[in-house]
Order: sequence, then C-alpha cells, then structure tokens
Amino acid sequence: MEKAFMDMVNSNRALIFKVCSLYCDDQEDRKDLFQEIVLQLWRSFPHFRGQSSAGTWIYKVALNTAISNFRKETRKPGSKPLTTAELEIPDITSTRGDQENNDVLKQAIGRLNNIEKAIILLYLDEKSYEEMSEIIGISISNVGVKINRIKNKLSNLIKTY
Amino acid sequence: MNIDQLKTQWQRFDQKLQITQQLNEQLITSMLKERSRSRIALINRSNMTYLVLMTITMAFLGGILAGNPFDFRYTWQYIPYGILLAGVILAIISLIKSLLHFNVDLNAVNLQSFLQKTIAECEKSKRMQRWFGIMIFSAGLLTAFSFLPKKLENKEPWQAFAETGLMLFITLTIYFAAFRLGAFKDRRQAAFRDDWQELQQLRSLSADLRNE
Repeated sequence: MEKAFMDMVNSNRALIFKVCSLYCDDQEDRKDLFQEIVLQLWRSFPHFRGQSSAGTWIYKVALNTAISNFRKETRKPGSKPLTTAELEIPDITSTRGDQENNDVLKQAIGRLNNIEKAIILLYLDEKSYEEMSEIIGISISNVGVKINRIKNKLSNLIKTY
Repeated sequence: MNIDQLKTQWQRFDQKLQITQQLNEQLITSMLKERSRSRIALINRSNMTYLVLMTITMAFLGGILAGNPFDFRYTWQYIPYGILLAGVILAIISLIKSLLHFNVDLNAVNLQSFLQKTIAECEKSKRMQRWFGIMIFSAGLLTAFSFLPKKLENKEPWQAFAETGLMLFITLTIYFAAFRLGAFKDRRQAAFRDDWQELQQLRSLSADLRNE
C-alpha cells in the first residue's frame, strides 16, 4: 500500500503544490500545508476505491485540508519537521515568463476568498463542471454561475493593476 | 492582462511544477510520521484529553459518593458532588459520541459538507468546554455548604457561618486570582479568540456556498 500511495502522491505532486501555492504565501507555510495534505491523504487512502479519479480525490482532500482543516500552530523550537530542509515548493512568481504577469496573477488570485480560490484553481486546471461540482459540493449550474462571477471579479482586479 | 493570459500564465506555472524533482520515499515517510495539526485532529486530541480527565474525575466523585470520606449526614450535602458527577457522566457520553462519529472520511465528503461538519464539531466542542467550566465553578462554590451541618454541630452558628463564608471567599479568591494571573487567559484566551475568528471565517465560507 505504501508504494502505491507514494507513487500516487508523486505523480500528483504538482496538484498538491498548486493548492499549497494558492493558499499560502510563505514557503514554510506551504511546506506545512503540503505535509498536512499528505498526512490526510494517507489517512483516507485505505478508503479510496477509485469511484472517482485519483486527481478528483486528491483535490477533495487537499482543498478540504487547505480551507477548513488546516490550523497553524506555533512550532516549538527544535521540533522542525524533516520536510522543511528537503522540500521546495515553487511560488507562482518564480514562473518563467513575464515577471509582471506573474505578479498580477498572484495578486489577483490572492484577493479571492478561499472558496473562490478553490473554484478558480479547478477552472484553471480545466476540470469539468461535473468534477468541480463533485469536489466543491454545489450543483453544476451553480458552478457555472460561480465561475462567471469569479472571472468578472478577476477581470476587474486585473484592470486595476 | 486578460483571463486568457492569466490562464496561459497558470499553465506555465503548472509546467514548472510538473518537472519538479520527485519526492523520495524517506521524505514522504517522514511526513507521515508527523502529528497532524489539522482542525479535526486537534478537536479529537482535545476530546481525548477531556475524556481521560472526565474518567478520572468520575472515579474520584464515585469514591466520594460511595465512601463518604467527609462524614456527610444529610443527602443534600452530596448535591454538589451529585451535580458534578451527573455532568461528568453526560460529558463522557458526549465525548465518546463525538470521538466515534467525528471520523470524517475525507474521500467521501465534498467541501461544502466538510465545512458544515467541521463547524458543527467546533461549536459542540466549544459548548462543552464552556459548560464544563460553569459546572466546575458552581460545584466549587456549592461544596462549601456541604460542610456546614458538621460545623453547626461542633461550633457556634456564627462561627460555622463565618467559616463557610470564609471558604466561599477563599474559593472565589482562588478563581479570581487564577483568572487575573492569566491561568485561563494566557493559555486559552488567545486560542479561543483564534478559534472564534476561524469559526466566523468557516461560517462565511459555508454560507457563501449554500447561498448560491
């Protein structure tokens, strides 16, 4: 089971990185969230029977963890997790291309609330409305309404930069 | 920049992430060994701690009620301990129910139902803590009266009442001093405030989904 889990995490690491980048500005926070998501995935892994795709399952767990299940605790000195030294999660602003566009993308997304971030993440990752509905828990028609609103909001935000 | 350009930029970010180095087994294993700091894990740990404390308290109170170590003569003298025991039993039942039922399968829940479940559990946990605090406080105050009959038998009435009053005063002073010295404040107040803020955020997010 461990091998299958590790393969699954590895092949979907970009997806988890994206969730972490979207919800945490600070590198240490991103690492903490990544670790928490992996832990939650491991705990629910025995129940994953492939009813939905691995991607959908990971999105569900990762977004649930990022939005409502992650609480930052002050870490005691000396209890630094092993992950911090070995894990590096790229930031949106470090992406190749126009630096100005990177900044605009990061700042615009940063102005969305947690639910809007989740929906725009799924939209940018070109998930179908059905999958988005399954992950978020709202009807397919509401997914469309939400996306349009967020796109308008983003357009307005982008114009201000 | 427009939405399409934003999408292109996102795809570039995605491509960058796809070619990041694979995570080694040791790294993933080390992550799995860490203790969860998730909201649910914290609630469950807190519930487990309360369960142990409640069980010890129940045994202690059971011992007082069965063994009568204070030589009580009247049934009403047991009232504070009886109230406390009843409260402790109810708390134990509630904690066990919470531990058994709040085992959320993340695989099976979507974001909306997950938010609702988490909010419900946060509220339940907070209600329980507040309720138990009130109960301990009232039982502490009432206990002073349990010793009044014995004092009345052995001492002058004014002396018996004065001693009971003194006991009440000492109890209240201890509670007050503990409060003023930050026994509750330093450790819990900031956490309570954070909890409350987090709960408000969760509520607004959940409402945001429900209202559509």
